[in-house]
Amino acid sequence: MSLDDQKSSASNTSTHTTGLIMLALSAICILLALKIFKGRKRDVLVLIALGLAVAAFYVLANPQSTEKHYEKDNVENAYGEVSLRIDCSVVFDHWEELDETLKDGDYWPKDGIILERSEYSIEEGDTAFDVLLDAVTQNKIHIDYQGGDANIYNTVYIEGIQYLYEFSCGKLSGWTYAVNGSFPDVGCSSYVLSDGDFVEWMYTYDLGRDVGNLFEGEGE
Amino acid sequence: MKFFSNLHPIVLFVHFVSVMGMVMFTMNPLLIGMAFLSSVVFALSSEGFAAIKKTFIYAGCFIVIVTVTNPLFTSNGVTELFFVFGRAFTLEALYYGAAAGFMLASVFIWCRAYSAVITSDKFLYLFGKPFPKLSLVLSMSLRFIPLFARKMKAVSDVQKTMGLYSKESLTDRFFSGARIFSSVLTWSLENAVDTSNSMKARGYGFPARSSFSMFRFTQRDGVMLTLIVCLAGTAYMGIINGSLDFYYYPAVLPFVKTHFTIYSILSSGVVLFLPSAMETVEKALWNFYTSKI
Repeated sequence: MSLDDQKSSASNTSTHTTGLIMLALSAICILLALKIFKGRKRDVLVLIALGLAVAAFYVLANPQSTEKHYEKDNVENAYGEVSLRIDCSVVFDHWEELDETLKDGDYWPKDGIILERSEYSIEEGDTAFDVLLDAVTQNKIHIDYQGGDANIYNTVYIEGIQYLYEFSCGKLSGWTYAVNGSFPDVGCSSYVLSDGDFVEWMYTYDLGRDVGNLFEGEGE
Repeated sequence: MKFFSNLHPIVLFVHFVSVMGMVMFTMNPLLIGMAFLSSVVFALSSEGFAAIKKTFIYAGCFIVIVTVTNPLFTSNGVTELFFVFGRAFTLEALYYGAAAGFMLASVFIWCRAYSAVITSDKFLYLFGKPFPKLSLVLSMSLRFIPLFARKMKAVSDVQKTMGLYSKESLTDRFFSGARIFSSVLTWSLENAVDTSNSMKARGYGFPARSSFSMFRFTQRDGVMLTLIVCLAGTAYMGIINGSLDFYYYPAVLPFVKTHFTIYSILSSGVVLFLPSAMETVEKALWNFYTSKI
Protein backbone atom coordinates (compact mmCIF):
# COMPACT_ATOMS: atom_id res chain seq x y z
CA MET A 1 0.00 0.00 0.00
CA SER A 2 1.27 3.44 -0.81
CA LEU A 3 0.03 4.75 2.52
CA ASP A 4 2.41 2.39 4.29
CA ASP A 5 5.23 3.63 2.09
CA GLN A 6 4.51 7.09 3.34
CA LYS A 7 4.79 5.87 6.94
CA SER A 8 8.05 4.05 6.40
CA SER A 9 9.61 7.04 4.64
CA ALA A 10 8.62 9.06 7.68
CA SER A 11 10.64 6.89 10.05
CA ASN A 12 13.74 7.36 7.88
CA THR A 13 13.79 11.14 8.13
CA SER A 14 16.11 12.68 10.61
CA THR A 15 14.08 14.81 12.95
CA HIS A 16 11.54 13.62 15.46
CA THR A 17 8.97 16.27 14.56
CA THR A 18 9.14 15.41 10.88
CA GLY A 19 8.19 11.84 11.71
CA LEU A 20 5.34 12.89 13.95
CA ILE A 21 3.86 15.28 11.41
CA MET A 22 4.13 12.75 8.60
CA LEU A 23 2.53 10.07 10.77
CA ALA A 24 -0.35 12.40 11.54
CA LEU A 25 -0.65 13.23 7.84
CA SER A 26 -0.83 9.60 6.77
CA ALA A 27 -3.28 8.85 9.59
CA ILE A 28 -5.50 11.65 8.32
CA CYS A 29 -5.15 10.29 4.77
CA ILE A 30 -6.20 6.80 5.87
CA LEU A 31 -9.13 8.06 7.92
CA LEU A 32 -10.36 10.25 5.08
CA ALA A 33 -9.93 7.45 2.59
CA LEU A 34 -11.88 5.02 4.74
CA LYS A 35 -14.66 7.31 5.85
CA ILE A 36 -15.48 9.79 3.14
CA PHE A 37 -14.24 8.25 -0.05
CA LYS A 38 -15.77 4.81 0.25
CA GLY A 39 -15.62 3.23 -3.18
CA ARG A 40 -14.06 6.21 -4.90
CA LYS A 41 -10.63 5.07 -6.02
CA ARG A 42 -9.60 8.15 -7.94
CA ASP A 43 -10.19 10.49 -5.02
CA VAL A 44 -8.07 8.36 -2.74
CA LEU A 45 -5.25 8.36 -5.30
CA VAL A 46 -5.40 12.13 -5.67
CA LEU A 47 -5.37 12.50 -1.89
CA ILE A 48 -2.33 10.26 -1.55
CA ALA A 49 -0.56 12.25 -4.26
CA LEU A 50 -1.39 15.48 -2.41
CA GLY A 51 -0.15 14.01 0.85
CA LEU A 52 3.10 12.95 -0.77
CA ALA A 53 3.50 16.41 -2.30
CA VAL A 54 3.07 18.01 1.13
CA ALA A 55 5.56 15.55 2.63
CA ALA A 56 8.05 16.25 -0.15
CA PHE A 57 7.67 19.99 0.42
CA TYR A 58 8.26 19.45 4.14
CA VAL A 59 11.41 17.44 3.54
CA LEU A 60 12.69 19.98 0.98
CA ALA A 61 11.93 22.95 3.20
CA ASN A 62 13.80 21.26 6.07
CA PRO A 63 12.40 23.39 8.90
CA GLN A 64 14.83 24.00 11.75
CA SER A 65 14.41 25.79 15.04
CA THR A 66 16.43 28.97 15.44
CA GLU A 67 18.68 27.36 18.07
CA LYS A 68 19.43 24.40 15.86
CA HIS A 69 20.20 26.60 12.86
CA TYR A 70 22.80 28.57 14.82
CA GLU A 71 24.47 25.50 16.31
CA LYS A 72 28.11 25.38 15.37
CA ASP A 73 28.90 22.47 13.09
CA ASN A 74 32.48 21.38 12.61
CA VAL A 75 34.12 21.41 9.22
CA GLU A 76 35.19 17.85 8.57
CA ASN A 77 37.62 17.77 5.69
CA ALA A 78 39.37 21.03 6.39
CA TYR A 79 41.18 22.15 3.26
CA GLY A 80 42.44 25.47 4.44
CA GLU A 81 41.71 28.65 6.31
CA VAL A 82 40.32 31.87 4.86
CA SER A 83 39.62 35.10 6.66
CA LEU A 84 36.47 37.15 6.28
CA ARG A 85 35.34 40.60 7.24
CA ILE A 86 31.99 42.40 6.83
CA ASP A 87 32.11 46.16 6.59
CA CYS A 88 29.26 48.66 6.26
CA SER A 89 31.08 51.82 7.36
CA VAL A 90 29.95 53.58 4.15
CA VAL A 91 26.48 53.85 5.66
CA PHE A 92 27.74 56.21 8.36
CA ASP A 93 29.11 58.58 5.70
CA HIS A 94 25.71 58.76 3.99
CA TRP A 95 23.45 58.55 7.04
CA GLU A 96 20.92 61.05 5.62
CA GLU A 97 20.16 58.75 2.68
CA LEU A 98 19.57 55.69 4.85
CA ASP A 99 16.03 54.32 5.09
CA GLU A 100 14.12 55.93 7.95
CA THR A 101 13.20 52.50 9.24
CA LEU A 102 16.87 51.55 9.73
CA LYS A 103 17.88 54.76 11.54
CA ASP A 104 16.04 54.02 14.78
CA GLY A 105 17.41 50.57 15.59
CA ASP A 106 20.99 50.05 16.74
CA TYR A 107 21.74 47.42 14.14
CA TRP A 108 25.45 47.93 13.44
CA PRO A 109 28.50 48.82 15.53
CA LYS A 110 29.47 52.47 15.32
CA ASP A 111 32.64 51.77 13.30
CA GLY A 112 30.59 49.89 10.70
CA ILE A 113 32.46 46.60 11.07
CA ILE A 114 29.65 44.05 11.34
CA LEU A 115 32.15 41.21 11.55
CA GLU A 116 35.81 41.65 12.50
CA ARG A 117 38.38 39.86 10.38
CA SER A 118 38.66 36.28 11.58
CA GLU A 119 39.56 32.86 10.27
CA TYR A 120 37.21 30.15 9.00
CA SER A 121 38.01 26.63 7.86
CA ILE A 122 36.92 25.71 4.36
CA GLU A 123 36.44 22.46 2.54
CA GLU A 124 37.74 21.88 -0.96
CA GLY A 125 35.60 23.71 -3.51
CA ASP A 126 34.02 26.10 -1.03
CA THR A 127 33.01 29.39 -2.56
CA ALA A 128 32.91 32.95 -1.25
CA PHE A 129 29.22 32.40 -0.56
CA ASP A 130 29.79 29.24 1.48
CA VAL A 131 32.26 30.92 3.78
CA LEU A 132 30.00 33.97 4.18
CA LEU A 133 27.10 31.71 5.13
CA ASP A 134 29.37 29.87 7.59
CA ALA A 135 30.53 33.10 9.15
CA VAL A 136 27.09 34.70 9.56
CA THR A 137 25.65 31.48 10.96
CA GLN A 138 28.43 31.16 13.53
CA ASN A 139 28.08 34.79 14.57
CA LYS A 140 24.26 34.91 14.47
CA ILE A 141 24.20 37.66 11.86
CA HIS A 142 21.07 38.10 9.77
CA ILE A 143 21.35 37.39 6.05
CA ASP A 144 18.97 37.41 3.09
CA TYR A 145 19.95 36.22 -0.34
CA GLN A 146 18.52 35.26 -3.69
CA GLY A 147 19.35 31.68 -4.56
CA GLY A 148 21.27 30.88 -7.72
CA ASP A 149 18.20 29.23 -9.24
CA ALA A 150 16.21 32.45 -8.94
CA ASN A 151 18.18 34.66 -11.32
CA ILE A 152 19.58 34.49 -14.83
CA TYR A 153 23.24 34.51 -13.68
CA ASN A 154 22.91 31.16 -11.85
CA THR A 155 24.74 32.61 -8.92
CA VAL A 156 23.69 33.63 -5.44
CA TYR A 157 22.97 37.31 -4.91
CA ILE A 158 23.38 38.74 -1.41
CA GLU A 159 20.37 41.00 -0.86
CA GLY A 160 20.99 42.03 2.71
CA ILE A 161 23.24 41.49 5.69
CA GLN A 162 22.21 42.51 9.22
CA TYR A 163 18.98 44.16 7.94
CA LEU A 164 20.97 46.37 5.56
CA TYR A 165 19.60 45.63 2.11
CA GLU A 166 20.35 46.65 -1.45
CA PHE A 167 18.95 50.16 -2.08
CA SER A 168 18.68 50.78 1.68
CA CYS A 169 21.09 53.71 1.36
CA GLY A 170 20.57 55.35 -2.00
CA LYS A 171 19.83 54.08 -5.50
CA LEU A 172 23.29 52.61 -6.14
CA SER A 173 23.78 50.87 -2.81
CA GLY A 174 24.23 47.16 -2.15
CA TRP A 175 26.65 44.47 -1.05
CA THR A 176 29.82 43.67 -2.94
CA TYR A 177 32.87 41.57 -2.17
CA ALA A 178 36.58 41.56 -2.74
CA VAL A 179 39.06 38.70 -2.45
CA ASN A 180 42.60 39.72 -1.47
CA GLY A 181 41.76 43.30 -2.36
CA SER A 182 40.53 42.75 -5.94
CA PHE A 183 36.94 42.56 -7.06
CA PRO A 184 36.04 39.29 -8.86
CA ASP A 185 33.92 39.50 -12.00
CA VAL A 186 31.72 36.58 -10.95
CA GLY A 187 28.98 36.06 -8.37
CA CYS A 188 29.99 34.94 -4.90
CA SER A 189 28.78 31.36 -5.32
CA SER A 190 30.92 30.93 -8.44
CA TYR A 191 34.19 32.08 -6.88
CA VAL A 192 36.10 29.11 -5.48
CA LEU A 193 38.43 30.07 -2.62
CA SER A 194 41.91 28.79 -1.92
CA ASP A 195 43.86 28.57 1.32
CA GLY A 196 44.79 31.89 2.91
CA ASP A 197 42.36 34.03 0.93
CA PHE A 198 40.94 37.15 2.54
CA VAL A 199 37.29 37.77 1.66
CA GLU A 200 35.94 41.22 2.38
CA TRP A 201 32.22 41.98 2.15
CA MET A 202 31.53 45.68 1.78
CA TYR A 203 28.42 47.77 1.57
CA THR A 204 28.70 50.26 -1.23
CA TYR A 205 26.95 53.55 -1.71
CA ASP A 206 28.01 54.04 -5.32
CA LEU A 207 28.05 50.70 -7.22
CA GLY A 208 31.41 49.78 -5.69
CA ARG A 209 33.29 52.95 -6.72
CA ASP A 210 33.50 54.24 -3.15
CA VAL A 211 34.97 50.98 -1.84
CA GLY A 212 37.60 50.74 -4.55
CA ASN A 213 35.99 48.83 -7.40
CA LEU A 214 36.73 51.17 -10.29
CA PHE A 215 35.52 50.36 -13.76
CA GLU A 216 37.88 50.31 -16.70
CA GLY A 217 38.97 53.79 -17.62
CA GLU A 218 37.90 55.31 -14.34
CA GLY A 219 40.31 56.90 -11.89
CA GLU A 220 43.93 55.80 -12.19
CA MET B 1 -33.92 50.90 2.35
CA LYS B 2 -31.31 51.44 -0.34
CA PHE B 3 -30.10 54.85 0.62
CA PHE B 4 -26.49 54.57 -0.46
CA SER B 5 -27.10 52.87 -3.80
CA ASN B 6 -29.75 55.47 -4.64
CA LEU B 7 -27.19 58.24 -4.59
CA HIS B 8 -26.12 59.82 -7.87
CA PRO B 9 -23.63 57.61 -9.80
CA ILE B 10 -20.94 60.27 -9.63
CA VAL B 11 -21.06 60.20 -5.82
CA LEU B 12 -20.86 56.41 -5.82
CA PHE B 13 -17.97 56.44 -8.25
CA VAL B 14 -16.00 59.04 -6.29
CA HIS B 15 -16.52 56.99 -3.15
CA PHE B 16 -15.40 53.84 -4.95
CA VAL B 17 -12.24 55.46 -6.29
CA SER B 18 -11.32 57.02 -2.95
CA VAL B 19 -11.86 53.77 -1.06
CA MET B 20 -9.80 51.78 -3.56
CA GLY B 21 -6.96 54.30 -3.42
CA MET B 22 -7.02 54.39 0.36
CA VAL B 23 -6.79 50.62 0.56
CA MET B 24 -4.14 50.21 -2.11
CA PHE B 25 -1.71 53.04 -1.37
CA THR B 26 -0.98 52.29 2.26
CA MET B 27 0.32 49.41 4.34
CA ASN B 28 -0.87 50.93 7.60
CA PRO B 29 -2.37 48.03 9.58
CA LEU B 30 -5.06 50.13 11.23
CA LEU B 31 -6.28 51.45 7.87
CA ILE B 32 -6.16 47.99 6.31
CA GLY B 33 -8.03 46.50 9.26
CA MET B 34 -10.72 49.16 8.97
CA ALA B 35 -10.94 48.65 5.21
CA PHE B 36 -11.38 44.92 5.65
CA LEU B 37 -13.97 45.27 8.41
CA SER B 38 -15.92 47.91 6.51
CA SER B 39 -15.88 45.82 3.32
CA VAL B 40 -17.31 42.87 5.23
CA VAL B 41 -19.99 45.00 6.92
CA PHE B 42 -20.92 46.70 3.65
CA ALA B 43 -21.13 43.42 1.73
CA LEU B 44 -23.28 41.90 4.48
CA SER B 45 -25.60 44.88 4.71
CA SER B 46 -26.05 45.24 0.95
CA GLU B 47 -26.29 41.60 -0.13
CA GLY B 48 -26.81 39.41 2.91
CA PHE B 49 -24.70 36.53 4.16
CA ALA B 50 -26.04 33.80 1.86
CA ALA B 51 -25.20 35.69 -1.34
CA ILE B 52 -21.70 36.64 -0.24
CA LYS B 53 -20.63 33.50 1.62
CA LYS B 54 -18.43 32.20 -1.19
CA THR B 55 -16.64 35.53 -1.57
CA PHE B 56 -15.75 35.39 2.13
CA ILE B 57 -14.43 31.84 1.81
CA TYR B 58 -12.23 32.80 -1.17
CA ALA B 59 -11.01 35.92 0.61
CA GLY B 60 -10.15 33.88 3.71
CA CYS B 61 -8.15 31.34 1.70
CA PHE B 62 -6.40 34.20 -0.07
CA ILE B 63 -5.39 35.84 3.21
CA VAL B 64 -3.95 32.59 4.56
CA ILE B 65 -2.00 31.86 1.36
CA VAL B 66 -0.50 35.35 1.05
CA THR B 67 0.40 35.47 4.75
CA VAL B 68 2.25 32.16 4.72
CA THR B 69 3.91 32.70 1.34
CA ASN B 70 5.53 36.08 2.04
CA PRO B 71 8.02 34.86 4.69
CA LEU B 72 9.16 32.14 2.28
CA PHE B 73 10.37 34.81 -0.14
CA THR B 74 11.81 37.39 2.21
CA SER B 75 13.81 36.80 5.36
CA ASN B 76 14.00 40.39 6.53
CA GLY B 77 13.00 41.00 10.13
CA VAL B 78 14.56 40.82 13.58
CA THR B 79 12.31 38.10 15.05
CA GLU B 80 13.42 34.80 13.56
CA LEU B 81 10.83 32.12 14.26
CA PHE B 82 12.49 29.17 12.54
CA PHE B 83 14.45 28.36 9.39
CA VAL B 84 13.12 26.87 6.14
CA PHE B 85 15.14 26.24 2.99
CA GLY B 86 18.07 27.40 5.11
CA ARG B 87 16.66 30.92 5.47
CA ALA B 88 14.94 32.68 8.32
CA PHE B 89 11.14 32.65 8.57
CA THR B 90 10.49 35.89 10.42
CA LEU B 91 7.56 37.29 12.36
CA GLU B 92 7.88 40.65 10.57
CA ALA B 93 7.56 39.03 7.16
CA LEU B 94 4.51 37.19 8.47
CA TYR B 95 2.98 40.51 9.61
CA TYR B 96 3.72 42.08 6.24
CA GLY B 97 2.17 39.11 4.46
CA ALA B 98 -0.93 39.37 6.64
CA ALA B 99 -1.23 43.08 5.88
CA ALA B 100 -0.89 42.43 2.15
CA GLY B 101 -3.39 39.57 2.34
CA PHE B 102 -5.99 41.63 4.18
CA MET B 103 -5.43 44.51 1.76
CA LEU B 104 -6.04 42.29 -1.28
CA ALA B 105 -9.02 40.60 0.39
CA SER B 106 -10.64 43.93 1.20
CA VAL B 107 -10.13 45.17 -2.37
CA PHE B 108 -11.74 41.93 -3.53
CA ILE B 109 -14.77 42.24 -1.22
CA TRP B 110 -15.18 45.98 -1.89
CA CYS B 111 -15.24 45.31 -5.65
CA ARG B 112 -17.77 42.53 -5.15
CA ALA B 113 -20.01 44.75 -3.06
CA TYR B 114 -19.68 47.66 -5.49
CA SER B 115 -20.69 45.56 -8.46
CA ALA B 116 -24.16 45.39 -6.86
CA VAL B 117 -24.22 49.15 -6.26
CA ILE B 118 -22.62 50.61 -9.40
CA THR B 119 -24.55 48.67 -12.01
CA SER B 120 -23.55 48.78 -15.66
CA ASP B 121 -26.29 51.26 -16.61
CA LYS B 122 -24.90 53.69 -14.02
CA PHE B 123 -21.43 53.11 -15.38
CA LEU B 124 -22.51 53.77 -18.96
CA TYR B 125 -24.43 56.84 -17.79
CA LEU B 126 -21.23 58.22 -16.26
CA PHE B 127 -18.70 57.39 -18.93
CA GLY B 128 -20.70 56.47 -22.04
CA LYS B 129 -20.51 59.98 -23.48
CA PRO B 130 -16.88 60.97 -22.92
CA PHE B 131 -15.27 57.51 -23.36
CA PRO B 132 -17.73 55.26 -25.21
CA LYS B 133 -15.29 52.48 -26.11
CA LEU B 134 -13.49 52.35 -22.79
CA SER B 135 -16.68 52.39 -20.75
CA LEU B 136 -18.23 49.62 -22.86
CA VAL B 137 -15.16 47.47 -22.37
CA LEU B 138 -15.11 48.24 -18.64
CA SER B 139 -18.79 47.56 -18.10
CA MET B 140 -18.50 44.33 -20.06
CA SER B 141 -15.55 43.18 -18.01
CA LEU B 142 -17.30 44.13 -14.76
CA ARG B 143 -20.28 42.09 -15.88
CA PHE B 144 -18.07 39.27 -17.07
CA ILE B 145 -17.56 37.26 -13.88
CA PRO B 146 -21.20 37.09 -12.68
CA LEU B 147 -22.29 36.33 -16.24
CA PHE B 148 -19.64 33.64 -16.52
CA ALA B 149 -20.72 32.05 -13.25
CA ARG B 150 -24.38 32.04 -14.32
CA LYS B 151 -23.53 30.47 -17.68
CA MET B 152 -21.35 27.83 -16.07
CA LYS B 153 -24.16 26.92 -13.70
CA ALA B 154 -26.58 26.67 -16.62
CA VAL B 155 -24.26 24.45 -18.67
CA SER B 156 -23.47 22.13 -15.77
CA ASP B 157 -27.17 21.85 -14.91
CA VAL B 158 -27.95 20.82 -18.47
CA GLN B 159 -25.10 18.30 -18.45
CA LYS B 160 -26.38 16.83 -15.21
CA THR B 161 -29.91 16.58 -16.58
CA MET B 162 -28.52 14.64 -19.52
CA GLY B 163 -26.89 12.25 -17.05
CA LEU B 164 -23.29 13.38 -17.57
CA TYR B 165 -20.77 14.11 -14.83
CA SER B 166 -23.14 13.33 -12.00
CA LYS B 167 -20.69 11.06 -10.20
CA GLU B 168 -19.92 11.54 -6.54
CA SER B 169 -16.17 11.52 -7.04
CA LEU B 170 -14.60 14.90 -6.34
CA THR B 171 -11.87 14.34 -8.91
CA ASP B 172 -14.41 13.57 -11.63
CA ARG B 173 -16.41 16.63 -10.71
CA PHE B 174 -13.26 18.73 -10.85
CA PHE B 175 -12.40 17.51 -14.35
CA SER B 176 -15.94 17.98 -15.61
CA GLY B 177 -15.85 21.50 -14.16
CA ALA B 178 -12.64 22.16 -16.06
CA ARG B 179 -14.24 20.96 -19.29
CA ILE B 180 -17.29 23.15 -18.79
CA PHE B 181 -14.99 26.05 -17.94
CA SER B 182 -13.13 25.76 -21.22
CA SER B 183 -16.32 25.58 -23.28
CA VAL B 184 -17.87 28.56 -21.47
CA LEU B 185 -14.66 30.52 -22.02
CA THR B 186 -15.01 30.02 -25.77
CA TRP B 187 -18.64 31.04 -25.57
CA SER B 188 -17.80 34.19 -23.62
CA LEU B 189 -15.28 35.37 -26.22
CA GLU B 190 -17.91 35.05 -28.93
CA ASN B 191 -20.46 36.70 -26.66
CA ALA B 192 -18.21 39.73 -26.16
CA VAL B 193 -18.00 40.26 -29.93
CA ASP B 194 -21.77 39.84 -30.24
CA THR B 195 -22.40 42.36 -27.46
CA SER B 196 -20.23 45.03 -29.02
CA ASN B 197 -21.81 44.44 -32.43
CA SER B 198 -25.32 44.75 -31.08
CA MET B 199 -24.40 47.87 -29.12
CA LYS B 200 -23.07 49.36 -32.34
CA ALA B 201 -26.27 48.41 -34.17
CA ARG B 202 -28.29 50.29 -31.53
CA GLY B 203 -26.31 53.45 -32.09
CA TYR B 204 -24.10 53.29 -29.01
CA GLY B 205 -21.52 56.05 -29.05
CA PHE B 206 -23.63 58.25 -31.34
CA PRO B 207 -23.57 61.79 -29.87
CA ALA B 208 -27.35 62.32 -29.74
CA ARG B 209 -28.00 59.03 -27.96
CA SER B 210 -29.55 59.30 -24.48
CA SER B 211 -28.93 57.02 -21.51
CA PHE B 212 -31.10 54.12 -20.42
CA SER B 213 -31.56 55.51 -16.91
CA MET B 214 -31.55 59.16 -15.96
CA PHE B 215 -30.19 60.37 -12.64
CA ARG B 216 -30.69 63.79 -11.12
CA PHE B 217 -28.01 65.38 -9.02
CA THR B 218 -29.91 66.55 -5.93
CA GLN B 219 -28.89 68.61 -2.93
CA ARG B 220 -28.42 65.41 -0.92
CA ASP B 221 -25.92 64.15 -3.53
CA GLY B 222 -24.06 67.43 -3.36
CA VAL B 223 -23.74 67.21 0.42
CA MET B 224 -22.52 63.61 0.27
CA LEU B 225 -20.04 64.35 -2.51
CA THR B 226 -18.53 67.27 -0.58
CA LEU B 227 -18.29 65.16 2.56
CA ILE B 228 -16.59 62.28 0.77
CA VAL B 229 -14.16 64.51 -1.13
CA CYS B 230 -13.15 66.42 2.02
CA LEU B 231 -12.66 63.33 4.19
CA ALA B 232 -10.91 61.32 1.50
CA GLY B 233 -8.70 64.36 0.80
CA THR B 234 -7.61 64.41 4.45
CA ALA B 235 -6.83 60.69 4.31
CA TYR B 236 -4.83 61.08 1.09
CA MET B 237 -2.87 63.98 2.56
CA GLY B 238 -1.94 61.65 5.39
CA ILE B 239 -0.80 59.04 2.90
CA ILE B 240 1.19 61.54 0.83
CA ASN B 241 2.92 63.43 3.66
CA GLY B 242 3.93 60.19 5.33
CA SER B 243 1.98 60.41 8.56
CA LEU B 244 0.33 57.09 7.75
CA ASP B 245 3.66 55.40 6.94
CA PHE B 246 4.20 52.13 8.68
CA TYR B 247 7.36 50.06 8.65
CA TYR B 248 7.44 46.30 8.96
CA TYR B 249 11.16 45.75 8.28
CA PRO B 250 13.42 45.14 10.06
CA ALA B 251 11.28 45.78 13.13
CA VAL B 252 7.66 46.85 13.38
CA LEU B 253 7.44 50.51 14.35
CA PRO B 254 4.52 52.17 16.15
CA PHE B 255 2.34 54.19 13.84
CA VAL B 256 0.85 57.14 15.70
CA LYS B 257 3.35 59.91 15.13
CA THR B 258 1.58 63.22 14.59
CA HIS B 259 -1.83 64.72 15.12
CA PHE B 260 -2.35 64.42 11.41
CA THR B 261 -2.08 60.63 11.68
CA ILE B 262 -5.12 60.63 13.93
CA TYR B 263 -7.06 63.00 11.64
CA SER B 264 -6.39 60.97 8.52
CA ILE B 265 -7.15 57.66 10.25
CA LEU B 266 -10.44 59.05 11.56
CA SER B 267 -11.50 60.58 8.26
CA SER B 268 -10.64 57.45 6.29
CA GLY B 269 -12.65 55.46 8.83
CA VAL B 270 -15.67 57.68 8.19
CA VAL B 271 -15.32 57.29 4.41
CA LEU B 272 -14.94 53.51 4.70
CA PHE B 273 -17.88 52.97 7.03
CA LEU B 274 -20.12 55.57 5.36
CA PRO B 275 -22.16 53.21 3.13
CA SER B 276 -22.90 50.65 5.82
CA ALA B 277 -23.64 53.37 8.40
CA MET B 278 -26.07 55.03 5.99
CA GLU B 279 -27.84 51.74 5.34
CA THR B 280 -28.10 51.07 9.08
CA VAL B 281 -29.49 54.53 9.85
CA GLU B 282 -31.97 54.20 7.02
CA LYS B 283 -33.07 50.80 8.28
CA ALA B 284 -33.52 52.14 11.81
CA LEU B 285 -35.57 55.09 10.51
CA TRP B 286 -37.71 52.75 8.44
CA ASN B 287 -38.37 50.54 11.48
CA PHE B 288 -39.17 53.61 13.54
CA TYR B 289 -41.70 54.94 11.00
CA THR B 290 -43.34 51.55 10.44
CA SER B 291 -43.69 51.05 14.19
CA LYS B 292 -45.82 54.20 14.30
CA ILE B 293 -48.31 53.00 11.70
